[in-house]
Amino acid sequence: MRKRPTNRYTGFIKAGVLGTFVYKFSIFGWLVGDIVALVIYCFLWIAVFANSPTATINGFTSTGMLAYVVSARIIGHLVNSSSSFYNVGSDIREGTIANRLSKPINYRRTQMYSSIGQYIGSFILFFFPLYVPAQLILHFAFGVAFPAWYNILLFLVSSFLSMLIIDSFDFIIGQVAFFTGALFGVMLVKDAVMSFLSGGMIPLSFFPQGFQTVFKFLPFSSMLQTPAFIALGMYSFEEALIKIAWQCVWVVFLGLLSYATFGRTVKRVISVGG
Amino acid sequence: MLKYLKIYPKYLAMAIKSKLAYRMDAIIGSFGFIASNTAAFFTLYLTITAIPALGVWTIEKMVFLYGFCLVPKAIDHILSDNLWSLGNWMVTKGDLDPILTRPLNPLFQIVAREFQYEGFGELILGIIFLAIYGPKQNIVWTFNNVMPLVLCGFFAIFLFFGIKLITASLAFWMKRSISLMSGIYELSNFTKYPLEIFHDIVKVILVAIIPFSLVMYYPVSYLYEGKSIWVLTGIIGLVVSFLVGLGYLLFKLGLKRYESAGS
Repeated sequence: MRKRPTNRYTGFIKAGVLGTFVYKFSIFGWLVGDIVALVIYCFLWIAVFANSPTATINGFTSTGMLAYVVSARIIGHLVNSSSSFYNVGSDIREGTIANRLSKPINYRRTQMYSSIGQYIGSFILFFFPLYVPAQLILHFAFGVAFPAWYNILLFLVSSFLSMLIIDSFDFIIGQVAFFTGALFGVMLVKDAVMSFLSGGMIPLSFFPQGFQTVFKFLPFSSMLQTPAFIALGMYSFEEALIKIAWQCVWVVFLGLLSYATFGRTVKRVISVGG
Repeated sequence: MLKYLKIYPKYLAMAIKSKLAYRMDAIIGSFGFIASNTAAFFTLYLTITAIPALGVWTIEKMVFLYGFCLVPKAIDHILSDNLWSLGNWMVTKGDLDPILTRPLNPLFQIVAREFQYEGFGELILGIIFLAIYGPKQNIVWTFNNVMPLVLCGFFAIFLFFGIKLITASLAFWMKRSISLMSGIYELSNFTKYPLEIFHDIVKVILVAIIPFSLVMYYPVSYLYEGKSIWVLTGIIGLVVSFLVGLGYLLFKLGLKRYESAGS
């Protein structure tokens, strides 16, 4: 019996989920640095608000900021669960891409499906066990309100879209490895730029006005700040829908761009390998 | 000792040559470390400039402190990066075998055979911070404050080395100590910020147990307060010597336990 074409890729979703479970300890290994950074930023913000002449800074109250810093870190890990960057980079670098391309499946799509699997895996293994206790602590110790039910639903949609945006972005940047051969360095630059411009380190409202205008035309705020603001209930229902619509635009745009760039890169691969 | 001084440049030349095969890796790696530190710097900048000042800490003071922490960290990163391999896989993979057959100090061989270009990113950025914000401090720079500060920076290089050596040597008992190693190494990031904003537990850890703040934060803070830092420099020298000594002792003890990997 012939399987429907979409089923060809469900295996990649499953593999993505299971892959996350296999490397669960490596996730927690990297967590240490995150916890240190989190503790530093929490204390820093507490001190900043203690020294502030006003109760709110750029629209944030002291507890609102704590909630944002903690949530953005955890959500950041969830939406960054894609390993397309590394897969593409190493496939090209080591030449295994030739083998992959010979299979009757779309390379770009397999990467996306395994990223979806990794997203599900890290949701279960990492996001849920960290985010829920964090919200409980924020609620009972600092009086941060729980998100409304529709915010939770919107967050699920928004974070999934964020993951797709980052997956496409990573896929595009991963191809840079082909031209430079320096995966690790490119990854450091990409991670630094992404976490800084997506609001992972500081909310974008702290940037000078000129930058904020430019950010409106870049995909970064759709990568993290949108789902984080939705989860914290900082957008009204309508605002959230508009932001999600923007995310859809970026999913489509970067998705198409990743296909287009890959089409060109593949030609180079063949010319070099042949 | 003289023998090692003669051999070290040769080892370094070898390490540099082997790295030149991947020149692009080294250059982009440097950029990576510049990028992540620049992002951290701008985060700090945007955070602090949202308010007039953090108590007595102006942004100029904080960036100078940041640069002062970055430079020794970078120098250690460039010269002793191979200790991470010791903590990560050298014990389990049996990579120490060839090292133990040579008539040279094993620790020397491990450290000298790696030269990590990437650290230059942090080094350049650290020097830029010091050069820009040093003259902006309300301090008259004389021999009596520059000299001990440079000494403290020098000791700080060995503090990073000592802490890495202690935690990496634990791999002889734990097989892999990389998680513990990176966890403790990450604590050094606390010293880039004013110590008084942290909880007392953090202060005790960073001064008395893993003394990153004692070595890097206090000299700068004393300087801002106009105090002399000569005595402090002496104490720091003793503490760092003790830690490096302890690390070497652990390394020696660990080597005795080392059994090669099964074939």
